[in-house]
Amino acid sequence: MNGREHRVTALRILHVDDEPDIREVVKLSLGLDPAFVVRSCDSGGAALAAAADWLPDLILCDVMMPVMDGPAMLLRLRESSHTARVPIVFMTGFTHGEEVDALRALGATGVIAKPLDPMTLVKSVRGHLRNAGIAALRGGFVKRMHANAAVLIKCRADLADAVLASAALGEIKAFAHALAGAAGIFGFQRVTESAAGVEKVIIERLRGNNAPGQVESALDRLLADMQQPQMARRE
Amino acid sequence: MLRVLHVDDEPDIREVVELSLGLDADMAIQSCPSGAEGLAAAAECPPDLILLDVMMPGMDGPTTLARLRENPQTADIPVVFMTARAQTREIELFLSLGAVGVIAKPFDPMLLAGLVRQYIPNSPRLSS
Repeated sequence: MNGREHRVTALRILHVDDEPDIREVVKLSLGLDPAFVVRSCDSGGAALAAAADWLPDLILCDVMMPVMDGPAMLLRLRESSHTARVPIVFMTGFTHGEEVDALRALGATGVIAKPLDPMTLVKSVRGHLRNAGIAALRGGFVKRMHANAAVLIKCRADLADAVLASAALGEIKAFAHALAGAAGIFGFQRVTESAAGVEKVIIERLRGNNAPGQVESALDRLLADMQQPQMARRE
Repeated sequence: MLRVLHVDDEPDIREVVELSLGLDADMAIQSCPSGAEGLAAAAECPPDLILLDVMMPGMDGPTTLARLRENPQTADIPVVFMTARAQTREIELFLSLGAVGVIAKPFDPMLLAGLVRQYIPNSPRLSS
């Protein structure tokens, strides 16, 4: 990705609703943004076929539809590895806590309230696209974090070796610095804090200022947080 | 279209910034993994704003900023530092180097575009 300009110029949105009026409103509203390309379907069945064929960036989906409702469609979509990762945002008149939590628990990226506000729909859909993109990047980040934990465990063992200790300290410091800056972006605030703690004690150690064992105990705290990263709730 | 150049050696941060700003309706984002590449990209096609990591191997953020100022083509581009060290004293230091602002790491990727927009002169205050 380096060196080239990154600009999103085509965002493919699949919209599913059995009401023709709503399909019309969504088409017009999203048409205000030149980056959006919209396809509409009048049933869950038609949308499943369109999703497999087109692999949209996001599906906007009505909840209550005859034959196959929104949640049933989401489950079917997830069954196929081809479409499992396509993010879904539900559009519903029921936006109280419990309903929204239930839809999220099914794997929805988010919920947009009906009646729709055509003037803010574009902004809201872009926000959900961003959220879905960050969730996808978070998955990759967590995998790399687990792999890095294995490297850090090896570095921790090297700290006890007079010859290897100084290289190990440098390596741990670089990892800790990177984690301190990145983990919190993905919602892992505790990892950021423990990593910043490790970086700080290593800087002190390099200045000859701290007691033996401090780097090791800060590193153990970080490793524990990395192996079981807890997402802080933002909002 | 507001053009933003982002310089950071961490691939995770580059990816998330590309996503956060790339999905803004009126921003285009280019990223570089080092100060040297950032300098070349800025000279080749001067952006409206540069987001610059502070601690990078090779050429760090403050050095990159100093080099940008030496070249008349890039001297006037506003630069915002991104750093985990965003205490008052550090912020004052970065501003004294000529940065227009400092964004603390870790940032909230959902709000980054709005933060960045504040530093772009005469940009519409839309958030999307």
